[in-house]
Amino acid sequence: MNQDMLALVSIVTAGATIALGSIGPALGQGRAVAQALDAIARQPDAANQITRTLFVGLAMVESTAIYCLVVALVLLFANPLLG
Amino acid sequence: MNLEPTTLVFELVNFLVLLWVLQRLVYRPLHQAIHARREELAEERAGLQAQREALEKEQTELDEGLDRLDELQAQVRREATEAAVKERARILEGAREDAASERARVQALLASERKATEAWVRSVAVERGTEVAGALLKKLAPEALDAALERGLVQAIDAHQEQLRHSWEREGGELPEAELVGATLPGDRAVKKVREALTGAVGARPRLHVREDDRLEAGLLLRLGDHVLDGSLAGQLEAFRALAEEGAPEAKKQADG
Amino acid sequence: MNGDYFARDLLELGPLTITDTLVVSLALSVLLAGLGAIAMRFPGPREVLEVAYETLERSVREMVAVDAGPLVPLVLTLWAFILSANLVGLLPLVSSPTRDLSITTALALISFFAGHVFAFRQQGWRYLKHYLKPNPLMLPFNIIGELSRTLALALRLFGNILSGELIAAILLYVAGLLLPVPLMLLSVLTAVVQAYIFGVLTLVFAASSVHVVAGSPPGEDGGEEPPPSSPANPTPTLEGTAS
Repeated sequence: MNQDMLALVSIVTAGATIALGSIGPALGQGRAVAQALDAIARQPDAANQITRTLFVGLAMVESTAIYCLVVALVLLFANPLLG
Repeated sequence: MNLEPTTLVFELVNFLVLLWVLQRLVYRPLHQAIHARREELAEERAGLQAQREALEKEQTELDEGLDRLDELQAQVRREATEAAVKERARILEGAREDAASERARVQALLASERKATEAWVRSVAVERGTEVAGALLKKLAPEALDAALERGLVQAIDAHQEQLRHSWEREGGELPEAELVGATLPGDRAVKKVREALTGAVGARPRLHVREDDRLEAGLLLRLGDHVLDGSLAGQLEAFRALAEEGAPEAKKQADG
Repeated sequence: MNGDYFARDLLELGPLTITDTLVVSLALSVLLAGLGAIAMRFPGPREVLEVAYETLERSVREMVAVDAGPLVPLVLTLWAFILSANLVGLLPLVSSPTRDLSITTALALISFFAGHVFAFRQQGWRYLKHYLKPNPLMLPFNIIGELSRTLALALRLFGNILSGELIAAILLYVAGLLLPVPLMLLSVLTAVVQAYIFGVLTLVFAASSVHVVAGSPPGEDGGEEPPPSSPANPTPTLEGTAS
């Protein structure tokens, strides 16, 4: 019973983690992409450089979502409390 | 999900070995090849650059040489033009001078020639003219001629009253002795006229010696002391001839001017 | 589902546990080295390699303000290995080694130490001073930041690849044979981008530690490359082609 309860809570928490944890990075990435497009529109010559910087920045922002994903994965597949 | 130490360690070793192998087999040869090629290109470019600089320098020198040649050519042309102009001026001047002197010479020649001719023509004309005139006068109107000559003598006496008086006074104040010469022996009427005129001129009645001289051809000649009044035809012609001879230079002068 | 999408134990040799990811990564290493060695022997492929090497080397050198010459082989190898490891998961019956956290941790550790070795070779022990900037109180935070970005490096690669494979597997399980194909195409993009980002971040972190020391107040160090551009914000001057 206790184990089942724990599993249930873990699954719900994993879903909540990935759902909530995606919001911030999504907003941040959208903002970064918008700014990058704006910059490219202003300076088409620098499009290459802006794109590369954008990719690096997106990867950094995405790290947050990845952390959430890892936590969710740990809760689902490697939960230390579930034995 | 959890960390596997074996995998981790082996993967570390694996990656480092891969890195080393790739560095040995791929990166270093490629790097060296690219580097060598770059250096080769740089050297080649430096060589070409030096070559180009040398060529440019050469071209500059050639350009300068060309400029100098152009300058020289222009100078030579200028000098030649100047010399030609000067030479032409000199030749023209010489030619002009020659022409002028030649003209002057020819003119002088012509003038002297003309003068001689004119003189000759005049002398011939005067000679002939006086001869013909005398002959004509004597032949055509002897009386009129005599009368005219007589009148001329009288007028000459009237005109030369002063001189005649002086001449008479120098004789010594005696009765004047005058000589009247005629081509034919002068008639009484003529002697009378002359005596009257002479008396009017001198103021005393002169004594007249009458003589005949056919050299006079016609007319009369009066001599009082050393004074002679020639009213003969020969004397008139002679005077006319002299006058004609004298008038020639003036006529010639007028023709020249 | 458990076990299918993580590293599988193939065999145990005493204390050593050999996983399939390790085997695949070893095979990939051999393949890469062999391909490189063979390609170098033929003029045509060798020229292709030369062009690729020149382009990538120039892009790597132009990304950071410092002379990144010694890091070029590492970055190129990281790109090659991670790209091939990411893409090999698209083949049937083979799964990416990079969905194993152990593998990505090993790569992140290499990146971490490479940065420090590079900084040490550039500046000697003085590079450690940048942990005391802006003041010594920041030492723990600097150390934590250093470790966390290494951890993030490992987790980012691991999470991206694993999530791609997981989603493909779940869709295959739920919806059938062809539906995962667009997501697999997306995972190709992810594979390329993640490989590229891993290499670039390695380069940037390594350069940034040098940067911080060299950009510190003048007269303190005799470093000959002090471009005083934003030490706190090591923005790469990215130029060139994607990996």
